[in-house]
Amino acid sequence: MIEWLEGLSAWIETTRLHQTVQTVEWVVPTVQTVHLLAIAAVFGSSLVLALRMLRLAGTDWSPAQWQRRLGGWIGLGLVVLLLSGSLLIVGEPGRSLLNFTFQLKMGLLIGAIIVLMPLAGGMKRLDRPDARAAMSLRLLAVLLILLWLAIIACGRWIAYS
Amino acid sequence: MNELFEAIGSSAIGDFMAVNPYAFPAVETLHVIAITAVFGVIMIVDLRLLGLAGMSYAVTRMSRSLLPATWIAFLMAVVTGSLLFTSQPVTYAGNFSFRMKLLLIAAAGLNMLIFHFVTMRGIAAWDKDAPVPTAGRIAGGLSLLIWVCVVAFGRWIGFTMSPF
Repeated sequence: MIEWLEGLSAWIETTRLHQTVQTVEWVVPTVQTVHLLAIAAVFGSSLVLALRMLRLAGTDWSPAQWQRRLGGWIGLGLVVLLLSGSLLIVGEPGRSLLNFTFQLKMGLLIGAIIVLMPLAGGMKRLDRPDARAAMSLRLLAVLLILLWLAIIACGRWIAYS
Repeated sequence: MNELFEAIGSSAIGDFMAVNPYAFPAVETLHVIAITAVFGVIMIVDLRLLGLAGMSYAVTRMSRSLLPATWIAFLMAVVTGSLLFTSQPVTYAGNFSFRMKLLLIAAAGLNMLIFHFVTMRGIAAWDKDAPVPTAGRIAGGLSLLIWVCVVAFGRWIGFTMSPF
């Protein structure tokens, strides 16, 4: 795996796109801004879903209504994160692909997506505003927030490694 | 003003933020968490005001329900942002992106006040399942635009000055 990543990293460094991301000054901060805005959409929406599951906010709507409102929004945010993140990797493949913090971040991201799916499925079935969420669903919602916090922290830490 | 900034920079907190190798990245991480929470939640309210999503949730009820969490996150962004500022006060104060960011946050506050005290007066007529009047949509659109710029200028600060 490591050897494959090293090969990939070395190949990326030979591409024109890598050169462009490295040399055109506004590219990296612009892509990072897009990345941050997408994190805001995904993290903020997850926060609202979690607050709803704990009945701390948004109780006029059922969990199913919130899921319908924000599920697609989170999905779109994840796609933007993947695209902008890939471009940032192309800019500095060595500092990302071969970096432990980055690898940890990707592992946590897979964890967040795995948590998101049963959470969304469970919310869909709670279609009355007064419906009570099972403890397991509430725990999944809290776990999702903890995972995003760890993912954001890893992301910021990559810049310092 | 510069004397005040220099005093902040040489204070115990300013010294700690500048010298301790973990202080700046740790506080910056909390700052990113706070600002993404603020913008992520405000976005949901802004899209409601623009009439693009969530029309069956009353505007008054949605803002009352979501704003407490947003204020907590905003307060956290202010505290962490101030701590980052103490690491190099004079340089931050003279940085264009930093000044723009503060100006835009003030603009976002003003936009919110105008919405709250002027536009929301007649809200009973359009609170739920009804087209949002132009003034309300302008408030939502402006808020969205301002916060996008706040995040962008925030990111640009990091590129126009070295953190240490």
